[in-house]
Amino acid sequence: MGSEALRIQPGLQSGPLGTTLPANRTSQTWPGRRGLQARTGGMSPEDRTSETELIRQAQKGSREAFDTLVRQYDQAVLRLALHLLGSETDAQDIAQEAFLKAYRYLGNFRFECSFYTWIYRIVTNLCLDLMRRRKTRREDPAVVMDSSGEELDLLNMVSDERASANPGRELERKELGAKIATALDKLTPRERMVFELKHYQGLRLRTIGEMLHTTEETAKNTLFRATKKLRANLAVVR
Amino acid sequence: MTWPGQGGTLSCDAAHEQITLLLYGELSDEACHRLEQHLAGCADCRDELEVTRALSSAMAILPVREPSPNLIAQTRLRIDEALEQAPSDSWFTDFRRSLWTDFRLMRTAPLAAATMLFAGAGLGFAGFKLAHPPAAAPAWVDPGTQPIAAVTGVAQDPATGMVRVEYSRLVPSAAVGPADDPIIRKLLLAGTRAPLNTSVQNAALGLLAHTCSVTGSGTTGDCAADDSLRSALMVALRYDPHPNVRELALSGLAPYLGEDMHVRDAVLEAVLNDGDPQIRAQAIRMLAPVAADSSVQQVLQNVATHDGNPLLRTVSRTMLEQMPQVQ
Repeated sequence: MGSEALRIQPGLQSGPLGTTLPANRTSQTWPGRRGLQARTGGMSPEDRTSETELIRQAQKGSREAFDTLVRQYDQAVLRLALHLLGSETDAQDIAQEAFLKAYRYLGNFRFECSFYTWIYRIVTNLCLDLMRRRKTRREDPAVVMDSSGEELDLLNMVSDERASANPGRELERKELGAKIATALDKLTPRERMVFELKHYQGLRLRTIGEMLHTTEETAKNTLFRATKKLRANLAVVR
Repeated sequence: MTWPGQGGTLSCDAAHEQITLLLYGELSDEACHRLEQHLAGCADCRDELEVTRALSSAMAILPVREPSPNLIAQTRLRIDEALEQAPSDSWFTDFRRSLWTDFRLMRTAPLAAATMLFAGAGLGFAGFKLAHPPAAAPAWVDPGTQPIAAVTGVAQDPATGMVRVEYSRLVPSAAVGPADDPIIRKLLLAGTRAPLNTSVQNAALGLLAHTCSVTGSGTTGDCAADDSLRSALMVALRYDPHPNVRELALSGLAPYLGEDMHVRDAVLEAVLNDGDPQIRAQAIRMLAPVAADSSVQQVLQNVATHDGNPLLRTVSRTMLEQMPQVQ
């Protein structure tokens, strides 16, 4: 296989698998950059200055400034927690506790990292704690509740616009979704977190290491372990 | 298997890791080039690439969805309520937070903070020196009741007669004042108990003795009332190896000879045992006011008749001959 033949666009989610390498390795994250970084990574200098000023005002006690920060980040926090925990109730709890902690300890924020790294660090720590408690209680993550307490079918989260047109394929995808959810649940909380932040949220390994108080190399090794486990648990995919 | 790639070897295990990094956009251009070379000749790793891509595609079956507007609104409401119930900021909280913020800013510039601190201290000290010339009262703070850790230096300006005593408490300090100043004398006395610094000890004793001997018996108030000073002078007279210090200690003890038998005994010991004839002669002369004391007479008689030093025999004999006049 020649190197030219390797170059196609990555990130296809439902089409035929590509057989080439990503053409633009540095500016995109595969399969997609859906996370907070998509909004804050490309922040303009003016926006960054504005955010810095907001943080300083909030540190001086401005509730209005802090509310603005909440509005800027709550959606991203919810998105992460919801996908990671599979529960709207848990995601709401995590978001509420994360912003309360941020409010309480904002005075400790020293601008040594970006604010989104800082708030993500709080969120990931809270999520890790919850996942560990789940592991201890052996809770079934596939049985999730929505914000009204109703049980949700995780497989309904499986994405396929063509599903309704092909019931047989929809069933196949739901079965696959269930296996993937089980395989993800078999990861350790930390492996699950690194995989989530890399694969689904599209963050750089360096940023992930910073958020999880570890090195880029350790985050990379954790990602390798996670992908190996997932492959072993999803052997049917091959 | 291991693939002997062009321009260096890349093991298949390493290639598998790099395939993962490649798919996540974390592989450097150089590593990507090497991987492409490896893949061009390694069917196993090309298969690995396909499988890894298949895994990633399969994982996309659980996509990241945006939270619903309803969920976002509910969450914001909960956060607002929780923040409202959080402890409200009083003026004290604001003040503390402001202080903490300022402190953190200062911590980010420790060098600047230290520079400002030392610059301020230096300017303050310079201003203090300008406002308080050393010839006036002691330019220092009374050590008060705090213990003095060590006396590290004693010196006297021959031009002004001012005594400088360097001593340590928590930080090294210095005091400047006249030798008869009670505070300076207190420091000098502490200096006499500086076992690790003989020069300081000797200098302090010498200055104390000189001060008391100069002031004389007529103004013995401070010296005579100070038992510590008296004891220090007697110790110096008996044990100090430096003749000049012993001589000064002897002079300093003169005011106490008449009333303190211990001092008189110390001087008599000096008459009999001191290694310096000059000191012995001085001690004999000092005894004139108390020559009526039988112990003094016995010592003088002994020296006058048996001492090997003719000068001392003469001085003692003269003292004994003058006794009736003295009496």
